[in-house]
Amino acid sequence: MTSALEAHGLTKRYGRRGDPALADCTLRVPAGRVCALVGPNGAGKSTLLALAAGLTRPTAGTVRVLGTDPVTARERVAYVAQDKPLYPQLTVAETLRLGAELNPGRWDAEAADRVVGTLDRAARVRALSGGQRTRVALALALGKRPELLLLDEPMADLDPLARHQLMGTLMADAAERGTGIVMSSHILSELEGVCDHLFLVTGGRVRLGGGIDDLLTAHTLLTGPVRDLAPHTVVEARVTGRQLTALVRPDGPVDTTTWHTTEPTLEDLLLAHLRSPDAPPLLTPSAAADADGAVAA
Amino acid sequence: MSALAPQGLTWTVLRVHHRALLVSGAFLVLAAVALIWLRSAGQEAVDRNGPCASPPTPDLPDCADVALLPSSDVAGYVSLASTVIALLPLAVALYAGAVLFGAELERGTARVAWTQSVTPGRWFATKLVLPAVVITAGFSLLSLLYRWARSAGAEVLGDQWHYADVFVAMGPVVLAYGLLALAVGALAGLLVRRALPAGGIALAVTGLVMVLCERWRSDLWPPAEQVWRNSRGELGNSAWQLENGLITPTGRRLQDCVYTVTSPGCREARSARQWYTVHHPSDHFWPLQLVETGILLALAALATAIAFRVLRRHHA
Repeated sequence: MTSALEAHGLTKRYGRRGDPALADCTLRVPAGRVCALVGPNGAGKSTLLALAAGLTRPTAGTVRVLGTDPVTARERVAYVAQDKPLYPQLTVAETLRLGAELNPGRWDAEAADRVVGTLDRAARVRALSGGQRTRVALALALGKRPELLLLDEPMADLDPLARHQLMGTLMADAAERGTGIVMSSHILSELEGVCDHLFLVTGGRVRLGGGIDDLLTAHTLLTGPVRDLAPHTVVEARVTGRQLTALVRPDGPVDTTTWHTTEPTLEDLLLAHLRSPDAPPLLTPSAAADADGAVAA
Repeated sequence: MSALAPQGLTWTVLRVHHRALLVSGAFLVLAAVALIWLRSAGQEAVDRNGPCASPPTPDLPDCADVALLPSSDVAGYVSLASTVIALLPLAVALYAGAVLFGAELERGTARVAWTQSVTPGRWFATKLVLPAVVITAGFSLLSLLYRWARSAGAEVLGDQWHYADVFVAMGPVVLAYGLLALAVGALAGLLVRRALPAGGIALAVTGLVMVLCERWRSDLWPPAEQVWRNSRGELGNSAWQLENGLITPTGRRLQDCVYTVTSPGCREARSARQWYTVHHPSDHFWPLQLVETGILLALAALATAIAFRVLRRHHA
C-alpha cells in the first residue's frame, strides 16, 4: 500500500543554532486519508508540511510524498501555506489564469471556479478579506487536481459558516476523487468528524499518530481510588482528594472492579498528551513508517 | 491569441511585474525621445558654433540670441544624459533586490509558483532571463542612441570618452553593469529574504563595484607612453593622460617638476630635455571596455551561480 506521506528521521533546523523545528520525525500517512496534524503553535507542523511540499530541504532524514521525492511529486501535490500567499496586484480572474498557466495539462478550471464561488472575478486580491483570500488560495490548490492536498491552518481566518462550507467543498472533492488531505490545525472542532487520521506534534516531535479510532481504543480513561497503575502505560494521572483520574494505554485487561473506565474523547486524548510532555510516543502500525522507529499499539 | 503570446511561467512573471515593465517602457521611450532631440540640438549647436556679433551684422547672428538657444547648453545635456545612463544599473540593483526577489521571499509569494508545478530552479531562472532580456535590449538601445546623439555635437562637448559616466554610457560596460546589478539583486534577495534590505545591499554592492572599477579602470589595459625630446609636446584632447613629467639626463622620471622647474626640489629638472606622458589614446576605448565588461560579466556569473546554490540548499 502506498503512502501519501512518509518521513524517516526527518529533521529541520533553521540556522546553525537553536532547537530544530522538527526533530527526528518518523511517520506515515496512508494514501487517500484525511489526516489532521495537531499541536501547539511552533510545534513543527508547518515545517513538516513545507518539507513535504518540497519548499524547503530537510537538514537530515528523508521525506517521501506519493511514493516519490517531493520535487518529483510537485505536480501531484497542492499546498496552501498558512499566510495564503497570493499576488496582491492580480485580480481573482488573473490569479486563476496563473493557476492554469502554471499547471499545463492538469488545470481544472471548473473545480477552481467552484471554490471561488460568488467572489467578484475582477476584484484585486489586495482588496479581499482574509476569508476570501483563503477561498482563492484553496481554488489554486484544488484546480491543480492534486492527489495530495497539504493545508497549513486552512480555516484559521474563516467565520464558522464559511469554514463549514469550505470544509464541505474540500471533503466532497476528497471523497469524489480520493484526494488525500493532510491539514494542520489547532482548532479541534475543525477536525472532529472530518479527519480519520491524526498526528500530534509538539516541540518538533511526533507524540501520537494513527487512525483516530485506533488511537481512541488504545487509550482508556480511568477514575477510581489512588493505586498503582502498572502494568498500564500512564499518559497522565491526576489526583483530586482521594480520587484518581488517569489516561492510560492499557497493557492487558483493566481491573474494572477497581476503576470506572470510559473511552476518552479526542479532546481528552490530545489535552492529556499536551499536558504530559514526557508520555511515551505512540504510533499505530498504519502510521509507523518502519518497525524500529515506532512503538506499536 | 497569437502563438507568440507569452504562456506559462513567462506569462506569470510578466503579469506580476506588469507595472515595472510599463514604467521601464515609458522611461525608455522618454529617454529615446530626449536623446533624439539631443542629437538635433547638437547639430544645431555645431552649426552655430561659429562667430557672432553684438550688435548683429548682416553676416553674423546676434551673440545674445545664440546664447539663449537651448542648443547652447548641449554640452551640459549630453553630460547629464551620460550620468543618467551610467547610474541606471543602480536602479536595476534596487529593483532586482527589493521587488523581483526580496519581496517575493518576504511576502512568501514565491511559494505561489513553487506550489503550482514550477520548481524553484525554473522560477528563479525565468525571473533572471526575462529581466536580462529587457535590460540587454533597453540598455543597448540607450547606449547606441547616446553615442549617436553625442557624435552629432562632438565639437561642442565638454566631456571626453574617458570621463567615468561617458565611458560607461558609451559602451557594452553599461550592459554588463545592468546584468551584474540583476544578479547581485537576485543573490541579495535570496540571502536576506527581505525587500528593502535586499534592495539596499544590491544597490550598495553594485555601487561599490562601479566605484572600484572607476578607480582602477586605467589599469585594465596597458597604457601608451609618449616621449618628446628637446621640446615639450602636448597630447591631443582625446587622450586620457594618466601621468606626465620630465626625464633627467640620468634617466630619472620626475612627475612633480613639470610646471614648477624653479622650485627648490626641482634643481635636477632644469637640465631635463625630455618630457614624457603615460596615457590611453582614444583607440584604447574598446580594449578597456571589453576587459571591464568581461570582469563584470564574470562577477555576474559568479553571483548567479552562488544564488542558484543558495536556492538549492534552502529549497528543494
